Amino acid sequence: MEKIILLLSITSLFAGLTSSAQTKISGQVYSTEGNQTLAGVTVLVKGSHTGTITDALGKFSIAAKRGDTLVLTFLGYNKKEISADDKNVLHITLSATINDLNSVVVVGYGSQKKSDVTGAISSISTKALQEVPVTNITQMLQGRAAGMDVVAQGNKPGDGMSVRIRGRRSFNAGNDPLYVVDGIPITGGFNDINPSDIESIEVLKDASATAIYGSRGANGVIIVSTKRGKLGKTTVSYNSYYGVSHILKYPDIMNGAEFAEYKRESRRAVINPATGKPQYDDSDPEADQKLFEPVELESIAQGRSTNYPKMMIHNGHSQNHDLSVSGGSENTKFNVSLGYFNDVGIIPGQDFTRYTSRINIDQKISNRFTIGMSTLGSYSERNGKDVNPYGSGADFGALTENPLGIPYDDKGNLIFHPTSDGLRSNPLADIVPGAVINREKRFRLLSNVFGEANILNGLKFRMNFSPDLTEDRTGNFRGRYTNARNLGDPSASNSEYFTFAYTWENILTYKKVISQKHSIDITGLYSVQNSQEESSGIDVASLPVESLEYYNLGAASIINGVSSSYEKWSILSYMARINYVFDNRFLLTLTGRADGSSKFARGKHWGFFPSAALAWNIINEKFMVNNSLFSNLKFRISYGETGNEGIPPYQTDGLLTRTKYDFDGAAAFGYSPSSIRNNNLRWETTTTLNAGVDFSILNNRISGSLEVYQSKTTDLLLPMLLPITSGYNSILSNVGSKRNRGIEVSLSTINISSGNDNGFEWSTDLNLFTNKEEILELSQGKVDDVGNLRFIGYPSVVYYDYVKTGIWQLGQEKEAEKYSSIVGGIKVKDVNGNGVIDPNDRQILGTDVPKLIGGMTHRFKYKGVDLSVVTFARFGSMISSPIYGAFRFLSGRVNQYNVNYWTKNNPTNAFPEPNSSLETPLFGSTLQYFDGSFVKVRNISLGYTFPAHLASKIRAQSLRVYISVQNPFVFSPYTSKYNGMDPEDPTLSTPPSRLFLGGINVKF
Amino acid sequence: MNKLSFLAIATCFAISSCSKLLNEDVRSQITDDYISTEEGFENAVNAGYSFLKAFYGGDEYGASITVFGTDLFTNGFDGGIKYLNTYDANLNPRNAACNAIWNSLYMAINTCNAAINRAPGIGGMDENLKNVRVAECRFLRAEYYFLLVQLFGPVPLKLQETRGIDREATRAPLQAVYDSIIEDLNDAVQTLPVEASDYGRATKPAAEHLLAKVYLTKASSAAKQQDDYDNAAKYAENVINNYNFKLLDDYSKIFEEGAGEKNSEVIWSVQNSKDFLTVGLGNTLHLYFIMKYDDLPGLKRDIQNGRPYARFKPTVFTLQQLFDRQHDGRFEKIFKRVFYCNNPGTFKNNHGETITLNTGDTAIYLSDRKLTADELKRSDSKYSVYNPEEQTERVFPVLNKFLDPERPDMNEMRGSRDFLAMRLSETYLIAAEALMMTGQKDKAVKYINIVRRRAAKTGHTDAETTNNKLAMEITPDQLNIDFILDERGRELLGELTRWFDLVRTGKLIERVKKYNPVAAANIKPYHILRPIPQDQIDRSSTEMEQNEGY
Repeated sequence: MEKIILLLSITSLFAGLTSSAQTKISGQVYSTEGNQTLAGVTVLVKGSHTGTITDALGKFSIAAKRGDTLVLTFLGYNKKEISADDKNVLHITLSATINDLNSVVVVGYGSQKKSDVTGAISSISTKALQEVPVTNITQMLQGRAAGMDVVAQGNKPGDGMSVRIRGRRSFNAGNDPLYVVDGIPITGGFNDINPSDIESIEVLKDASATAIYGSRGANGVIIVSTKRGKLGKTTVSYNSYYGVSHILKYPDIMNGAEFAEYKRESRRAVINPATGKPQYDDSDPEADQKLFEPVELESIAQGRSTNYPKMMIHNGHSQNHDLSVSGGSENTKFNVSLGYFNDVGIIPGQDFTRYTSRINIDQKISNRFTIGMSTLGSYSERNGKDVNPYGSGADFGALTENPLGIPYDDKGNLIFHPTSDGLRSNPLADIVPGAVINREKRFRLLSNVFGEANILNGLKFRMNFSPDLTEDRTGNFRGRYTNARNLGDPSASNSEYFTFAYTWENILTYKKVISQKHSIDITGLYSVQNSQEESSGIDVASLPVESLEYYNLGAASIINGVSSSYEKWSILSYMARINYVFDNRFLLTLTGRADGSSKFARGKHWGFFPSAALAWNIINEKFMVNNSLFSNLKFRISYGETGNEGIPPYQTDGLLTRTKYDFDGAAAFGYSPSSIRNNNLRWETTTTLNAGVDFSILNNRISGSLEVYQSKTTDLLLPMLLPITSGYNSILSNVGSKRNRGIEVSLSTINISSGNDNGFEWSTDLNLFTNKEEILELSQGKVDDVGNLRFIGYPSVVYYDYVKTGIWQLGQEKEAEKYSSIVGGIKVKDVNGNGVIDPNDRQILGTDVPKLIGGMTHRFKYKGVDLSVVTFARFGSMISSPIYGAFRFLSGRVNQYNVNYWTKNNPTNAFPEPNSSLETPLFGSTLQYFDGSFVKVRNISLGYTFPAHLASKIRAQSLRVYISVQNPFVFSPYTSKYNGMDPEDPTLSTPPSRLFLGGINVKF
Repeated sequence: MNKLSFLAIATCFAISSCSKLLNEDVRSQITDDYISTEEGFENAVNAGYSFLKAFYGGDEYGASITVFGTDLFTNGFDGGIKYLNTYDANLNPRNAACNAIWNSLYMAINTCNAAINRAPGIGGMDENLKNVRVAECRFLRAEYYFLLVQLFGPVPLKLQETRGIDREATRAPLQAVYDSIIEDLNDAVQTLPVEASDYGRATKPAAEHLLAKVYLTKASSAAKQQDDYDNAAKYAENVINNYNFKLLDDYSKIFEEGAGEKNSEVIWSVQNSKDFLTVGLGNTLHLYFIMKYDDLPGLKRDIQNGRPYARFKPTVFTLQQLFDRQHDGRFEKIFKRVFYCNNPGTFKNNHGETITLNTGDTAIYLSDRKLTADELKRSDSKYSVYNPEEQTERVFPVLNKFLDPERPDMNEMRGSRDFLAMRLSETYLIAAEALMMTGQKDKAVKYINIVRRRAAKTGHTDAETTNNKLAMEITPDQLNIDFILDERGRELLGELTRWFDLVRTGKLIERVKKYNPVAAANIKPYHILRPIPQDQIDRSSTEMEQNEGY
């Protein structure tokens, strides 16, 4: 069979080229990267007209004599000459030319040469992936690709990132991209994957690239490929680092004396109506005695001040160790790795530890069959994810603790209530080991088993089956001496999620090159995705003994709640794709995918998502042959539809909610209607038009691409708001539409190059992009939904509030009162000029969407030394800092940032006068909005690779050592002008830190 | 090739069985068909009750909208819904309190409608039981509409369960709303048993009490009819005369926590228990009347004194004028004015004196009158004394009716106390008010005096007590609407009725201006109704009018 095919291909395609010869030389051609066979390589016998090209498996056979020289040429690869020696079958590898046009890009359900790609795809190179030591995949993505906005969701060990590709489309169906690991779509749990196992990441952005993921492609697709074994000698690699983290900076809060004065001022502001005197009367010599309690008076007298935020922070540390063994023979290729990662945060009790193992095997059974598997096993333990002893609002936290209180008594024991304020327990009590436990343990087993058969020449069938098991348990405990219990008996809870999901895919591919000019690549798919989640939990209080933690919930005398749940959804899919390449010049991709999702109403299960893309490789046109400027030039245009089904299941059924009641103590649970049936619920659809150009000039010194796009999302899965007289607040429906438009620029430049491997080289990667997000219609048409802060023409997150214009000054009493404020209080603008301040005076102050986002990486290399600097920036967004808008801000009860507040002697317009009769200042929410622009240097890394002869002394193939600093600098108005800590995560529940580390990469 | 064909066949087989996967498999949730079963119907009825908590103590909205902003209470120091007391610009159609109340009441009504509508289709259920349950739901629906109509005036009248997208909402005429309430209650009066199978379910006397109050309110509304007061009196007297309800001898026993809540003068109460699995929101009323005691010398927060939310501060009128302190025992029984030391040490008190306190010593005394310099000197060296003019939004006498020291810890908000929504003493006062309005002052006075005699201060001797009781009695010429309001104030202080009482009697503006200086500045005639939530108006596909003034 094989021979026949071979013969056919040779005779049909190259009959004209063959000539009579004495000997047959045959061989197979591979690429050096990825070890893939190369089809279509021209093979010539030097000095003759004899020639052939390789078939779909990279094989060729040519009439030549022993000793002849064969010349192999292939677009995008370096020309190679090889002597036809006495081996019968030659094994030849070609290396890609520097402009990596031929580097292979992983696309959905397959891979393509970069030059054949028609869609908007950003690749993140292995080099970039290894540059910054990170905890999970999402962190690898920050600042790396145009169109991808990646923002930290917190600073705790194990915290992930929010990843948005080309803005937000959806309100309710989620905006997270689809992650595809080794071909299998996964949901969540990115902390389970060891970043060191990742070979490459591709980001699919336009409909041409994502439509083959149909209903799950609307938010972009991130394709992650893990390292697989390669043909050759077995290598052992060991990568390791250890680092120490410090808080980036301490916040400037009031010290004891400042706090005392602020507390006094908060009482000066309040006049006692009966006496007409202020609550704090400066003329009264006993005023301090009346206001402060003994411990405060003592602190004032001694000039003593407790800095709780400082006392709570210690140095963290972070370490990572990976050991991997990789290799392969003709038939078996393998990559096995073990990983250990441990990150201890700067707040005691917050840490993340992960153990991973990965086994990737490819086994060739015969010429026709290959089987293989990828298996990830991961176990992790995370502490302190949901606890915020540093600061979490007015009632608790080190940031707002009264600095006049003292944390320890004479004997060094913690004082549980440092002051008489009953709500404010000592924040240091919460970090006593064992007092507060919040521990998540996670186990994941994600496998992909595949079998592949070459049915006919170019026709392949592949079946993937991927079971994905996750077990996630969280235990919580709060002892008696914690803020949560405040001397009540201990409470505890545990919860467990067990998820079993699987993906089953059947993929048929056919590749054919017809008369050298027409290349066709067809892919067909049938797949099933299914997920079942079971959960249970119990929440109790009044445990008799602290040491029980959450391991004996039955001992508790109060049961707050018991729960369990079951959730299941499925997606069935059919997909077909045709890639057609004409003469390496014109490229066409047509895709259609039909998805059926169980989440939608009967009869509305199925959605069809087509896309089409065209590309023109101008560089391959004849008229470009003599151009010396461009080494690559390609135009692309694509149009298509993708869907979103990311809502929880069971939204189409009218559901009931459990209610609680009792009759004289006897339980009387009930069920009340909570959602209306929606028999019309269907897919949310995004239609995207994308145009792009890829270029490379000056002998590849500058290369890059430019993309312009517009996407429109219709049938938004949005609650249609109902008048509540119906008994319902809303019904999830397909209403409204949204639009995203943007421009993306990616550039890679080699700024200085000496031309040889050991010389000085400076290169830069830069990406810049902007995305404009607009709501076009909501459930009531082009009408703002003020209640949910959704406005036509604006992004889905806006800051909508009164406009602060200053502080009411002395002498403006009448006016202040007229505008619902007081002297020393915040002055807001009467926008509609109706003489009173009412909700109609609120304005859209800004949005969280930046005007410009960018990432820049510089790499320097000289001899064995390498240096890289990774930066990330966002400009023009607005952030809301909850610290400034907090409950009890400037109320004279809890501590604050040391702000410039108004007093009779300090007529500032910055912050209002502290006032003990106001829990928050009048219009206090106007104080929390800031410019969120920043430039962050994420990482600076300096490495040295030992010369081979030195490395070989420890029997190593290669050896590199490096030092690196993470988060060295932040430049932003929020941190420099407003005492902010982190413009990326202004909540401050855990402050940002800076990590110094040293590491080693060694390969045997 | 065999292997391949096997694979192909297996694949085809697997594919054909997969399409079933698209049918949803609902297991851990319950769909609305359930209500059409006997069990589900019972559950829907239970759910109808659960919404009572949303208004009566589940959060601070129901209390805030009825307690302060009146002649009896003004705002304390804490809280974000002071606009219900101050009647300032924040009392607008977007305010959180009115929205929350409106929303939960209409959700409650839809739940009741579901049970009432589905009942006829439920087979196999004892018809008598089914009728009782339907009558319970009609009682609850009447209760919910009665709250709505008192707060918002004419409101949309929805009497059918919503089964699809329904965006229409128009305000029904006031008459229609009252007609519906009365029709529901008439059915309840006819069908409900005198004593319920489970304590806490609606009963015939509870329906009569409510009906009496509905007529009393309707009688002074735009929907009034000639015989409203007669009907009010009739149903109130039914409750008084036809059942075994009886006033307790001691006023303070009414609010005894635990078993004491189930006493002979309770006609109907909203249920709460100590079991957190059933308590839901619980009764949080214990929080709101407590002054900010825990930062004062010698005191720290504890369960006994409660968690101080400091929302409702009695007005000077309540503290100094409302009660006849010589003969009326209620003032002393319902106000806590002494705090005992639970945090010993040496402190400076509010007058700058150094005081040393041991556990159990008096730490704070809130005086009801200005102490003489001499008196002050004597007590001041021992504890903190707050003269009336020194009492502020933070420091004021605490209404003790709802305090809940049996909570498991001091910061727990979910209280376990039943809310005594209908008490016999109120029935007397309803009867008295209705009778007075129809000119039967003698009879009215008879009922009022029953309530007043019970309230009399217990003397040191029986003779003194008898004397007090006599002194509490009034004569018909003393009776007028202001007297009724004062008496309701004394008897029902803080019990979530005051704002309704003032509106019903047309005295809201007058008495607020007179007795609540904080509210006096802003209150306007249109404040006798609350604003319809803007969301309701915005989301309705039909035109919906806002109340005048908002």
